[in-house]
Amino acid sequence: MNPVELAFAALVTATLGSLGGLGGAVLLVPVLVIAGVEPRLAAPLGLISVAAGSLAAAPRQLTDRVVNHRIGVSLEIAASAAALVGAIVSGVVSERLLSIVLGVVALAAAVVGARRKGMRNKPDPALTAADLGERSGTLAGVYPLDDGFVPYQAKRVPLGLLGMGAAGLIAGLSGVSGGFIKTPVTTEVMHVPVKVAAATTTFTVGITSAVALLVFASQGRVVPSDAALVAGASLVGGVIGARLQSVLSPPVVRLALAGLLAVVGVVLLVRA
Amino acid sequence: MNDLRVLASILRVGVVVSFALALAGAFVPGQVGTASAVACIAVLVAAPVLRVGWLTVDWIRDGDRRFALLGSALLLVLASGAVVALR
Repeated sequence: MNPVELAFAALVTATLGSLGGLGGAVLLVPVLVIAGVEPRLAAPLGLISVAAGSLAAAPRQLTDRVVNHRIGVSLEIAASAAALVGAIVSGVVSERLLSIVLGVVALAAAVVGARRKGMRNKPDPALTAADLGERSGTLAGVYPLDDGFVPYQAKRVPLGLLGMGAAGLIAGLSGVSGGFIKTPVTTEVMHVPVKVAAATTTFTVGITSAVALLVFASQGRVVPSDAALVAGASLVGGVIGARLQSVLSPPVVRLALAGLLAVVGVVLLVRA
Repeated sequence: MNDLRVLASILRVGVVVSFALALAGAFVPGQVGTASAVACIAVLVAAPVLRVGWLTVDWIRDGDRRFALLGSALLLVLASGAVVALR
C-alpha cells in the first residue's frame, strides 16, 4: 500500500469512526490486511487511528457538551479491566471463532439500531443553555439539539457494565477498540441518546487504545513513518467526523451507525 | 464547569502539536522524522490519560466523591495495564 492510499484509508475510516463512535480500527485494519499489510503491523496502525480520531474529535465534542465523562469513566473501568484479562488470555480463543462472534454481534446491533424509529429523549422547553452538561454525582445530563435542550439519564447500568465488560474482553482478545459494541450498548441498553453515546465512546476508545498501543510499541510492532502518516490523516478525519456528528440529526447518526455496523459485521464474517 | 473549556483548549493544542509531529514524522527523513513520529505517538497515548486525570481532579474539587473515586480507579487500572504492557 503506497503512502497516499494509506493516508486516504486512515482519513475515511477515522471520519466514519468518529461520526458513529466506533473507532476506526475495526474498519481500517481489514482494509490494510486486504491491501497486503501484515496483520501484526496493521493492528497497531488501527489503534493509532483510533487514538488520533479520539483526540481530534475531543475539543469539538467538549465544546458542544455532548460527552458525558461520568458515564464514560464508569463504564471504562469495566471495559479496561476486561480488556486486560482479554489480552492475557488472547492465545486461547481462535481468531476465526472471534471474528464470527464479532460479526454476528455487529450485525445484530445494526439491525436493532436501524429498526428503532424516532427519538426516545425529547427536548424539554423548560431547559436552558445553563442546564447543559453533566449532572454532578449522577449518570444524567442535558445535551443541545437544534434550538432545544434534551435531558437524559443512563438506565440499566449493571447491564451496561456487563456489556462494556464484554466489549473490553473482545477488545483485549482481538486488538480492536470495541467501540462498535460500546456505542450500541450505551444507546440500546442504557438508553443514552446516540449523539452522547457516540461522543462518549469516542472518548473511551481513546483510553483503551492508549494502553494497547503501549503493548504494541513494546513488542516493536509500530513502524514510525507509517504510524505518523496514519496519525496525521486520522487527526483530520476525527475533526471531520465530529463536525458531521454535530450537524446531523440523531436519527441520521443512528442510521449511519447501523450502516457502518452492517459493513463491519460483513467484513468480519468474510474475514472469518 | 468552565474547566471543560480549558480542557478543550488544552486538547486543541494537543491536536495541533500531534498533527505537526505527524507531518514531520511522515515526511522528514532520518532520525528527526523517526523522533517526531515517536513523539506524536507519545502525545496520542498521553492525551486520554491526562484527560482522565484532569476530570478526576475536577470532580475532587467539585466534591463529587463517588466519581472522583471512579476516576482514580480507572487511572489505577490504566497504570496496571501499562505495567503489564511494558513487562
